Amino acid sequence: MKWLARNGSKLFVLGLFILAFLIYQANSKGVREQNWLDKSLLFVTAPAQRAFVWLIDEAGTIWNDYVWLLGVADENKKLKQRIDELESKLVEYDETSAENKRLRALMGMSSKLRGYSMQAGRVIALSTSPSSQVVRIDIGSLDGVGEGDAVLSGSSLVGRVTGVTGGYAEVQLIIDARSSVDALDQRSRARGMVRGQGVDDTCLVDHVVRTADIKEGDRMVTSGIGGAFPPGLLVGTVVSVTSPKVGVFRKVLMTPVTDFSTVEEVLVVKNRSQKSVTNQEHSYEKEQE
Amino acid sequence: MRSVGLMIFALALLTFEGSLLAFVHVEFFRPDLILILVVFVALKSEPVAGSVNVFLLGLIADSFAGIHTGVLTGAYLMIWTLVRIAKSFFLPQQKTVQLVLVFVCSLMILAYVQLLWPSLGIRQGGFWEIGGRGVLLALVNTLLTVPIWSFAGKIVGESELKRRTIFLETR
Repeated sequence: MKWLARNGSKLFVLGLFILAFLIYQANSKGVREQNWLDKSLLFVTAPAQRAFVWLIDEAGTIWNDYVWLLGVADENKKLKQRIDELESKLVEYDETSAENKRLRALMGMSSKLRGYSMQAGRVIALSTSPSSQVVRIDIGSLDGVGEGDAVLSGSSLVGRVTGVTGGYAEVQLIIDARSSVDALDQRSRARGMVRGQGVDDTCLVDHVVRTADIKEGDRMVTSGIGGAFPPGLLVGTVVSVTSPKVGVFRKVLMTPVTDFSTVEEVLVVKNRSQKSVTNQEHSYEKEQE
Repeated sequence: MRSVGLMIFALALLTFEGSLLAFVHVEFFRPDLILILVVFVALKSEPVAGSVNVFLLGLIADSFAGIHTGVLTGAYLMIWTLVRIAKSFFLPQQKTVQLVLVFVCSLMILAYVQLLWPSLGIRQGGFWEIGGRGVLLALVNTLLTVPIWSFAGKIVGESELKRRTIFLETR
């Protein structure tokens, strides 16, 4: 009993370690799924994050439109005020023009993906851990977004939805170390598996056989195999191809087309997972017949 | 109550950080604020309460990071244990030593997560990044330690604890 009293706290900590390990074991067997804690935290914190993003946007607008103008009103009132008005308008136009471009790209993609239902959303937060590349967006199951849906930015692939609540969703970017996308070389149709490396600049293209015709500068697009992503979406550009002395596969590195640090608006291709599952079920049934 | 305060503080920090990162586009600026809190808890609180706090902080961090539940929970418990051991050996009372401790822990946690990736079916380890990007991330964590700890200290009533300890010692 004395021993137990003396080492009680150590045993307690050991118990917590075991509990953490068991939770990890239970969760690590498949693709990460959102549990009740994830859903509750997303439900509670995402509105605050959306409010924060809105606040920053509004503060920027107020600063550009009012405070800055008041600050310079003391010196050369008329002229400076005029210049500032023009400058702020210019910034506004630039912003509108950039937004217009992004939306046009989104709309362009929308027309390319006829037959798929789309929903535009805005990035409201990024993952807080350097070990994962996940973002939160301000649309969720109420907007028809489901787990497994593909997420695009303009004409390029951003990632896939891994968790969803009423008004918000979590998107795993293609640069996340756990992400893999079946892709094709747009020129030669050579196949490979694009895997994230956890950093912004490069992805690894796995399973590219030695005989495959793949060169630096080639564009990789989604193959559509497996139904996880619509076919033909731009993923990235090949930046290096090396053939090791031994082994069946080449080592291919690719830079994603999407600049993940500046993605603001995204487009979610809705119900992809359901469609693909249904398609797979149909093809399986046909095979059985 | 202190634990609840700490959890709310952690939630607020992560919520704010997540949104801020959507505006700050610097690759190595992704501070691990929970790690900073974990080291704080390891240095300041009792073993049982501290370990429970760290466990809960880990669950929250896993959720915000969007990774498998248990990965960061286990990692933070490991860091907490190591800091407790370090504390029992050389009593890091000096701020500089504590900051070095945060720096080292930041690198350790990156290495730990990289070690876990293969168990999730991820082949590439990416240990190279601990040398380059990891050092920058660890430096950012170290720089943010002082403000985070001063806030956390106010929340858990550190000054009150100190006053009471000094009072008891003088008696």
